[in-house]
Amino acid sequence: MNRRRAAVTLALLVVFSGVLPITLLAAAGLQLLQRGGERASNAALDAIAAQAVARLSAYVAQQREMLRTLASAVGTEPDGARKLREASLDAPSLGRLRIVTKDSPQADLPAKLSPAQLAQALNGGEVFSPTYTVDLAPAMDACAPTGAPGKTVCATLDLLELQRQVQRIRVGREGYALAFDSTGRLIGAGEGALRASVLSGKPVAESVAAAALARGVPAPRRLHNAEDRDVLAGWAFLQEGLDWIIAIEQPADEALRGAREALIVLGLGAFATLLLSISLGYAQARKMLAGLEMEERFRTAGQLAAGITHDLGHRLAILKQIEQLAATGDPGYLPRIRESLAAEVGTIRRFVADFSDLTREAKPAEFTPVELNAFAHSIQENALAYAAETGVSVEVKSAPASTWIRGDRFLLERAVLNLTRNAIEASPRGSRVLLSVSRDEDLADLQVEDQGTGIAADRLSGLFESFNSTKRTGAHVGMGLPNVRRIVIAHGGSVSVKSTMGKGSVFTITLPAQSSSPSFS
Amino acid sequence: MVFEPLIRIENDGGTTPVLAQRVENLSARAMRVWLRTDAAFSDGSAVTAADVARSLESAALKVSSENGSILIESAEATTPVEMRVAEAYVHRQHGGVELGTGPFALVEQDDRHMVLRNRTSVPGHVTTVTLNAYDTAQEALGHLLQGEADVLPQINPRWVEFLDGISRLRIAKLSSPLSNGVAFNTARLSQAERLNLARLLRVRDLRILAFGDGDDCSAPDGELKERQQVRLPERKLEISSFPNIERFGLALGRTLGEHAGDLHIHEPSEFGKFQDFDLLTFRPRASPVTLALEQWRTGAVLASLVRYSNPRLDAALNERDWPAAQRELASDPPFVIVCNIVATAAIDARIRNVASTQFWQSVGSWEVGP
Repeated sequence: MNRRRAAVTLALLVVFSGVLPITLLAAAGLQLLQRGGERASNAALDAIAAQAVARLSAYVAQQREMLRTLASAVGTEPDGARKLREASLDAPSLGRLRIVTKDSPQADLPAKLSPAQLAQALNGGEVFSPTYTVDLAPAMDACAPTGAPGKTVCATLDLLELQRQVQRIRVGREGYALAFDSTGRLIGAGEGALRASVLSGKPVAESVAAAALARGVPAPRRLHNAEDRDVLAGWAFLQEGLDWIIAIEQPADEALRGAREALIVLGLGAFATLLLSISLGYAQARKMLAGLEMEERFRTAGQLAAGITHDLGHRLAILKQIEQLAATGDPGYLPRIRESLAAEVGTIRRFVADFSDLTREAKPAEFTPVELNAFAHSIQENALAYAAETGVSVEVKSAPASTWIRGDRFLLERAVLNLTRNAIEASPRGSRVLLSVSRDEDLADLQVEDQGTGIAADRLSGLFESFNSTKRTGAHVGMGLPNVRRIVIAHGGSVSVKSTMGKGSVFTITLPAQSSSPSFS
Repeated sequence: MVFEPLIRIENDGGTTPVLAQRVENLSARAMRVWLRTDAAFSDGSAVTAADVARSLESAALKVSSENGSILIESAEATTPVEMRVAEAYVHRQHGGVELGTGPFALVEQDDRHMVLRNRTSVPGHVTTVTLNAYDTAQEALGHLLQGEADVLPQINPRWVEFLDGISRLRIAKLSSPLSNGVAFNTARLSQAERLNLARLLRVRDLRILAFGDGDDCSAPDGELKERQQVRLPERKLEISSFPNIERFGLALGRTLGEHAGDLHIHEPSEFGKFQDFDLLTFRPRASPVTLALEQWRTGAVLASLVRYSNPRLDAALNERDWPAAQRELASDPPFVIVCNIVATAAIDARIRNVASTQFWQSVGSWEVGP
């Protein structure tokens, strides 16, 4: 894994373990915020509806107060009828004012008052009718006491002003008000196209809800209006003297625009934070990995230098001894000198070969099929000479069937030879080293087993680390097993060891097996 | 739009030839016209003297051709012949369709609608007009609000509220030939009393009290700004009015103050059947001046109602001396105009060039913006 990939992995790890949960939490929070925004919008629309109702109520109360005042002031005067008629000049909203008695002609009686209400009015009570429509404007019949028995002052209140007020209510850019009577008939509308329903009396989308609200059934807070738009609605019911239902509607997209914009900003913020986290994490991880790598290089270089120093020092000491033997000029030492020099040259060659192995990279693109049974026999052939020198036999136990893998044959050979040589060196004279091949499903194993003294348990865990060899007497700088592991991992496999003190060790190389015989095209 | 007369009477009483090339007034009962040689119906056929004769004879005018001119005579005593001619539209029936000479041709018609098409299509201008009939004005307004109509030419001023805040529509104020006035019963009020009343009632206060301070009733020229101190009859003056202008009657009473007597409200069907009043609120014609003046000719309906007769006025009308007739009415007034009625129309805001006068005649020049 190179430094770049490691940095990306680390950054993503940070994102998924830290930022992502926070982002998910933020998303949940934003969802809650949106719902809260809708509730707040509904509450605001409710408040506006309540204010509208209060204003309309105040207007009607004012009209009735004017009627009461006029009735008590002029209702009993001899020319009261004329004064009342003239009063309508100053108070046109009171409509046609007239004195009503039990003998009044039918035309003077308020049409929308019931006989019982009329009787109540003639007995000194104040009565009023439900609202109805005259000349497209809402109106209300009302009678107020004059103070004289059997005589009341009646008016047809012109409530055009109420309609005007409803029409002029604006919420935001597109919000408007609707006024309904208790049957759900639209009386006033701030929305232009809906006003046609005020004229025709045809129900609108909200009529059912308005009529239900008049019966005490809660009205919907979000609905589909006549223009096929989702709207949020606030409602208020004016029961005192004017049985009107006021609905304040605002298209949902406008009402929630603020919350939605906040959500977008927060979402973008979260996304930007996520990107920033990844970028910073990536940059920081690369920087950190570079530092670690540098530190590791220095440590490796130190260890390498220590090993090389130690081993070359050892070799130098031996060469020094050979030099001293040669300096004696005694021909009797020549055979010994020759043998010693040959041995040292061999040792240094292997030393160099070990380092050379380290420089060769495994390239999967260049892997070729390798049959492990044949491969094990090849290793056996290579190791036989060295094994014979030490009195150790090398045997092969093949798998029942051909076992194919893909790999760099040279590197694999270096790795397995290394394990075999170690096994031979660890084995007592007369014992055997066994190379065995086996296959389990998609994995192929190649084991190298010796009958040596075994490896102490405390050394097993660090066995494949660099410069961890205990053998300092030969060409062992401790690069062998780490190189074995490097090669096996580069082939997508793994290497492990099991050892029993006094009985020997088993090194197992596990590699991905090929499903069938390869074609050599 | 579809049909045109031989002549048109302007507001100032002047005559403008339309299908006529030249006009010669012979008397109050007779005139001679020369037909425009390029006058043609919508199918391209030329307008003939026979077409003119047939059209005017259906309006009870007598027509005869003389040496390329057309002699037109009226038997009616109270209306000058040119006014009758101005109201008679030239037409020809062809293939069951009435052809006219105006800028629009009638292309479709039934009892509920009529389609007119501009004979010369001009880009950006109105090319087709569909006139729809509704059972009630309320229904017409409803269709306008729903966007199913573009123009409602006359709308109750109270209903203007319904258009408030609808950007698709705009309000246009159109001049109306009618006015709000007060007629004097000349059998009960002397010339001096009527002159004083005319001075008293041409005040801003009365107009605002009766019709509000909006622009639905515009002040006539020469409106007095403040109330005049005038001598009025000692007795209380009886006022008559009608239900639709009851407020006008009330305002008139307040303006008269202690001189105001009872206010009588009459049904419109009673018009002309009562004369027990001193003052009557009514809606006289204010333009064109010829028709406005003719209302007071001896024997005309309004003149009879207020029992007005002025031989000098009749003579001026016969002479077509409109200024003299106006001076005569001002010195011996049977009425006073309080304000001129302004009609309200609702029009699609994209339509431009709508004329405040001659509304229908201006349709051909209406432009339609984006």
